[in-house]
Amino acid sequence: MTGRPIARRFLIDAARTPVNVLTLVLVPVVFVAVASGPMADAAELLGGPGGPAVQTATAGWAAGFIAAVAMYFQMRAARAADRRLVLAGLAPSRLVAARMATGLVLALLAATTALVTLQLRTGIDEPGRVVAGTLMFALIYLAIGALIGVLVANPVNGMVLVLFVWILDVFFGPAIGSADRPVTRILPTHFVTLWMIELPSQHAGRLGDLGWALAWVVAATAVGWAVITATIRIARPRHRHTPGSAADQIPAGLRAGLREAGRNRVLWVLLVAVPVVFVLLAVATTPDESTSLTVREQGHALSQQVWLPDVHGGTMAPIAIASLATLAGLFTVLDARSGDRRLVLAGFRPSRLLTVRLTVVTLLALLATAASLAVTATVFTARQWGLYIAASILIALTYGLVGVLIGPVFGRVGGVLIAFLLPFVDVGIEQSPMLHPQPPTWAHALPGYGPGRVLIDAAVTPTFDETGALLLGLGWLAALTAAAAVMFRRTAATTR
Amino acid sequence: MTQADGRPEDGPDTDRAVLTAAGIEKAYQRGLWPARRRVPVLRGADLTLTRGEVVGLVGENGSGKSTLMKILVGALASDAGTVTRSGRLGYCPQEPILYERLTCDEHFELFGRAYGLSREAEARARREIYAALGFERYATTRTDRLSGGTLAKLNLGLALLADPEVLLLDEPYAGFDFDTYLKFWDLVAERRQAGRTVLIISHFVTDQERFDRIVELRDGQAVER
Repeated sequence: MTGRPIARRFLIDAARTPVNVLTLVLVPVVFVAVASGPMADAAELLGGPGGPAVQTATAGWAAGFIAAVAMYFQMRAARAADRRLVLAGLAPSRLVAARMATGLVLALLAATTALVTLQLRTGIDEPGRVVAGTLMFALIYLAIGALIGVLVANPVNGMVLVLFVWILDVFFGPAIGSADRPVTRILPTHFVTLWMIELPSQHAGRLGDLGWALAWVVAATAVGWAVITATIRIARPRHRHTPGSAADQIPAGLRAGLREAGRNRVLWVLLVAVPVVFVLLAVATTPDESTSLTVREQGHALSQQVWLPDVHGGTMAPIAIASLATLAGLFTVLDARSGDRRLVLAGFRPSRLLTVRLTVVTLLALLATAASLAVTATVFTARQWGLYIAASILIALTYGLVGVLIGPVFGRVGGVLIAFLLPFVDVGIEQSPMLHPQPPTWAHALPGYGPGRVLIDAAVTPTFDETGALLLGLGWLAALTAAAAVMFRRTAATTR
Repeated sequence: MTQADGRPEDGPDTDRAVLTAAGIEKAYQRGLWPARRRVPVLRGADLTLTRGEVVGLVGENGSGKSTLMKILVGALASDAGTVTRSGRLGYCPQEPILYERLTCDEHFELFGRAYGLSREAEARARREIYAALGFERYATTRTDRLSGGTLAKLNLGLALLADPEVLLLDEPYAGFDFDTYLKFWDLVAERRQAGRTVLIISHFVTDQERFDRIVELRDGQAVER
């Protein structure tokens, strides 16, 4: 049995529910025919483009809403029967493909109805773009419907949630409100709408509005696929790892390590408090003046004037990241030290335990980076975001390992002091472009120098010119990893 | 104590040894240079444990009981001497050494992987330990929220989990109520019956009849009492 006959059966199942057919046709017709005009007027009042652009977007909104509703009810109604099909031997991938195809067909029906109504009401200037945009709306909302279908069992609650997401997306989207508000850029159909109504965003970077729209479609399809796969999962005989093997011990150690970290309330408070204090407060008190930075462009060191309020947030983020990562490394190793020794005595291999601890530190360092950059992004725009994020991660990993190393040397209280002091002196003072146009010579020997230079390069220049500094940073990372391994082996060592 | 019920009469039967420590020496460094000095704790201690015996290790405060046990376990290196052993070893340290934000269940899961137990074997052993020591209702409680007595039960439970051939218990019943204390001895008797060896450290021995032998650490050496 291939996927197509299964999808056909699912469609017949849907067609035999009269409410479905009614909804698929009636809602888009009413929405496009009746609501698009008033919504266009409202959009104009709220600072959006208004006029035909909004009326065009209504086709996408209608298709999206119906796609989500159709997918939601598919997920809720057929879950148990779908599992039974898989138990009977149907490949899960085929079932998922059939479910997604069914949802797509239903969404296409709604989109077609909406587009025909739009054509009859106002006409469509660029049919190709509008049809493609409407289809993208439908695909993104299929995933939203599937996701809500998994999370919310009660159909009333499910519908309310679908409606809530849709209202947020539409009414705070670029067709009705302003396209420039940073916080609304994360809405699922922000870029699709902008591309569909031909309103260039000016903030899509190299990818462009269409690129971002397609990225959303691809990601949504992947999420939809994963979600449906998860709902039809059945208990298969598990592949058992040999007791005591690496595949047995490392996941168990990681689970325990992440649980421990997740239950550390202080860590969560710090993840919020440190970026707010280091970044937002610093920016709030920045004087309105310019300063000069030494940056590298095409192999030459150049002095560049920058406006302090524009860059201060970007230069404070690494201090928050380094401090948080150092604390994460410190607490991860210190909290577990005596327990780890006992675990090794019980038979946990030290090398595997080291893998576990370093993985936990890495994940926490990434979390610290994400938390700090999320706050920083509200007050700062890097010239090269990808590189800026990469340099921030390098700083986080470097200082996470510094935390691992200072814990056993300085203990808990001393370690906490050092965990704030060291990143502050290195990243916050010596590497800071706010205090020196370029770091003093002796500060080149500090771990923050390499990633710090890459970060400044990414923050204020359009191209990457700090290969040497990047290699230096990676060298520090390798050396600190080796040192952490030696330290860990010594502290967890037994005489066996 | 008689041979008939499996207990050695005059010291261990070395042919049935499961753990042998010979000539163990250990000294700690005290003070700062140049006033640094060496304080010997163990001066050639010998100890042999044979299959199926329950041995008490007693001595004054600071006599080196915990040091000797750490050396037997492998947690501490001796300055001289050798330790040989066969079979799996379970160790219950004097102070509960645990992860403070993990629950009892999560500890058993983690240590089960460390011992190399299958999931089924670990789950079975966990149930038996909960039942035997009576703390199942704390299975999902984090260890930083447990009472001292329950922590001591978990501490002991982790040593018992893999049903090791040799159990080294450092004052395991400190913190137990009397009922749990009796349950503990039932567990020890069961293990002994199954041929397991148990070495128990204690400041003083109140129930002498529960031990097959009692070894005292005196002047850094182990002597039969």
